Amino acid sequence: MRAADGEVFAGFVRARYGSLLRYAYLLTADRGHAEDLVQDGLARTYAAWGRLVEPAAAEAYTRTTLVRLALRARRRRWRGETPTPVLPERPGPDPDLDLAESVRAALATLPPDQRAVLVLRYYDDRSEREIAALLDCSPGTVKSRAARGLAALREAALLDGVLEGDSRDRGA
Amino acid sequence: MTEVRELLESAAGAVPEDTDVPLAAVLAAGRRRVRRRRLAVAGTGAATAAALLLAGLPLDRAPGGGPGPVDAVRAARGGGSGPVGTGDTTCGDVRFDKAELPGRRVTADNGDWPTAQAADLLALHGWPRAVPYDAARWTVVVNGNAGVLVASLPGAKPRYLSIHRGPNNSWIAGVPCTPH
Repeated sequence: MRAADGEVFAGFVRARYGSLLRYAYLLTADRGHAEDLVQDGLARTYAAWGRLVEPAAAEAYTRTTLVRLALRARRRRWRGETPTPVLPERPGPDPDLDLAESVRAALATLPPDQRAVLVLRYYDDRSEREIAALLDCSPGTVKSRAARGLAALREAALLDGVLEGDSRDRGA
Repeated sequence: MTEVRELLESAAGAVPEDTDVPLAAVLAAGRRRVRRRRLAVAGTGAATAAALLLAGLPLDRAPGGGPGPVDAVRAARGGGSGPVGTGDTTCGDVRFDKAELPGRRVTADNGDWPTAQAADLLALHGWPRAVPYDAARWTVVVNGNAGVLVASLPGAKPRYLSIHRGPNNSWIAGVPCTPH
């Protein structure tokens, strides 16, 4: 990588690291894994930097890489840890933190592919067709994974009535 | 679905905005990855060069005007300098004979084939692995100044990319496509 490209890449990392870390946190439901994932993803973006067709696409490229790495990592080495619905003790009540932790805990109970679909569909605003292409599955599979993921959030009392609303949307 | 997005944003908000950026670690990891990939490509290139030399095919255009990679591929097919096959199939704006698929094997460094750039494009269009050019099997079908680059990985459908000849006998990646 040329020095000028290196500066641009460093600027990209400084500007987007927080956003990418949040994205990875949703994909993994674990801060430590998310940091590892982002570093791995950014290393790949670094290696591809000179060949990216448009530098502006770097974040989309990195996010796509994060999704793939998250799914591959689950298959390779993260099986030793089992998500638990039991929340750790915290010093005092904080409604915002409670909600955030509840959502994280609900996400942690999902299989990585369902979690990835929820993040891609509702956090990244990608279409079902895009997600299907990215995950190499059919749009029907994307729909069913999204429905199961939403059902899990509803079971955690986080999404009262949303699935009914979603059904109406699809029927329209 | 606004509610779902808000829930996800609330969870993501557990990661503070002012998180320290481990720039040095990221750059070091990136450099390591580049070094590893260069080594892998060099190994693959050496193996391919040996195979091509054994087959009697030139790797690149000789200073005295020998055949380049494209001509080598044509020569290997036994064809002349005209278009490939009957052109019964199209990929983007490139016509070729479907019977030529999957084409001749190429690697990133046995010519100016845009496999690395193609891998990035394909990654953005649904290729199931990130930056797979050093893992995929790359083949090419050439038709004059255009052609089709084919990437294959075990267990996945082949991906196709139209290519066009650029300056200095280089090749420029075109659009991903499905031959029909």
